Amino acid sequence: MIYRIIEILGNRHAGFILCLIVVINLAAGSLVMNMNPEIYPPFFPFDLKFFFQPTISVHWWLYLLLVTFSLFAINMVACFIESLVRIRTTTTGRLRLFIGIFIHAALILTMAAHIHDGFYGNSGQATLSPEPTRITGIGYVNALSVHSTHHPDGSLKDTEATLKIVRSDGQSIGKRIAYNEPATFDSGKREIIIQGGDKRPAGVVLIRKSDGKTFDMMPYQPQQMNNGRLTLKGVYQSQMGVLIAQFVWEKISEQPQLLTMALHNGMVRHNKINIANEVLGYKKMLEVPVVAVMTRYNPAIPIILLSLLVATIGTALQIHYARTQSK
Amino acid sequence: MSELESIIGFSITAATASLGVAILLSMFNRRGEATLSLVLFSCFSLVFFGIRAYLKDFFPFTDKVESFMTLSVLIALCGMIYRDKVSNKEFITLLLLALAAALTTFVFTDHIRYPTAYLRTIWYPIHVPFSFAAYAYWFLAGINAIFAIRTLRGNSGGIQDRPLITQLNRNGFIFFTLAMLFGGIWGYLAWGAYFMWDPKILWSVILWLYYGNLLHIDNLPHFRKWKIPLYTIGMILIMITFVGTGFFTRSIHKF
Repeated sequence: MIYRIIEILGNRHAGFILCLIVVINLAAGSLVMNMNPEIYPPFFPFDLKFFFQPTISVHWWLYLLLVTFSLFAINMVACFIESLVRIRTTTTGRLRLFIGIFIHAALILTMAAHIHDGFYGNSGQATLSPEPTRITGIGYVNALSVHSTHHPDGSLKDTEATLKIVRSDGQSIGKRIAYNEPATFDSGKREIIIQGGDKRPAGVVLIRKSDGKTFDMMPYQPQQMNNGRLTLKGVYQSQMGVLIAQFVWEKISEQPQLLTMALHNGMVRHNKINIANEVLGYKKMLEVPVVAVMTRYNPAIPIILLSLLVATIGTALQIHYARTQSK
Repeated sequence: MSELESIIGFSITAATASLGVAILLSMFNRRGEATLSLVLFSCFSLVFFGIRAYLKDFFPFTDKVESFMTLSVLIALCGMIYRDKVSNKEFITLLLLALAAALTTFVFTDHIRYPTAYLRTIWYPIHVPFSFAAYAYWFLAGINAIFAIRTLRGNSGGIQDRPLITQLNRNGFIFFTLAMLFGGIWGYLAWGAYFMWDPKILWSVILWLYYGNLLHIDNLPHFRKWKIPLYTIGMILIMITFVGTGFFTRSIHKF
């Protein structure tokens, strides 16, 4: 009786028609997405939650796809079970049956992984700097360095960044990321993927003309000098495109003074400040790495890895079968 | 650099001309000479790809000129492999398709550009030729089907199995499955997702399901009569996947 039900559910003619319906459904979905660019962002990861927050009529193709794919999956699972039963009794054509079993198993696993990832996975964006940034599920991440290489025509070849990650259990690890080389965690379920990176001006190195002593000035980190203290308020870009640093000079007996300095070696009249009869000149910029990353959580990675293995075996068997057929 | 670019221009012109000559010779049943012409086509194409690889410091499958030329070469190669199994008319039609792909490269302004950072991985250059090899096999299956339409009309008692079509589809399916696996790995590493709602990726899934489904048709007596029409329609789906999504959609794979 059970075998009969499986036979009915796994009807191959029905499976063929269902697969064609899924194909038509996907094609319709592609057209709908292309015609509604204001609703569908270009190139977004597999996120089924997107289609339910909120449910709108333009997503009709996706809701229909869930139904048609489910029916197709039921048919395939039944067909798969029936093939497993049949392989025990069949003596001829076992290779073809095995190929079918492996390829269909891979497809079923992939569909299951898609559903799992689609509803429970997530993705986000973050900008990493030397200051720790909290990334859910991974921990606190700092960018320690960033380095870009370029082609002879100036176009970007690659960007690599070094990260320090402090996991939630307190473990500190170092990771290097680059294009096509993400940092992976928890058996590949979580990823930090680089999307770009550069160095950002963050502070200034000043040189005291009288003795040549240098001071590393970072925003709101005051330096004691000449019986007072100098604080960098920030680095800004002027309308002319020149970088300007703003400082506050404070001394107990005097009013605070706001001072500006052009951060350019060629601007000799404006790239210095006077405090307490001392001249402080601009030496160089202090830069910090800034790395734009995408974070991904895909709980279905173990399923998809299994699917990859099964598909590889199925394809290897198929290559073997194709070779025997072509002889 | 400009000298090498001139050699590229010459090699692509010479390759296309050789392909055209091979078609003409095949039309007059001059098989030996046609084969020689196709060998010349392959040699000029190798020069084209070799110099581009040298200039780009990477595999030469990263722009539309290279894509169309790769498709052209693989279609011609597929024709050479199956020459004894298909009719001369089918062979010529396939070569005409290869010529169309080669001629398309002249439509575009060819700038040698370095590949973007995302393309610089081993998974990309093996993903592209594998999918184009699948297209080549499926195109030949489609051409075989088109030439079978006549027999379909004349034969009311049932359609012949045409095992070659299934064999070609199986080969194409193997290549496309591998292309999808490699593409999926690349997607995971580059964007954190092996599937995205991108037209090209979506249509690749459509193609894989469609041709995978067609592999079953020989075992489905009720649907066997649809084999020829469905393989013919398959060619349109390939064109949509390769050209349609590449030029007329918002795909990241847009040329």
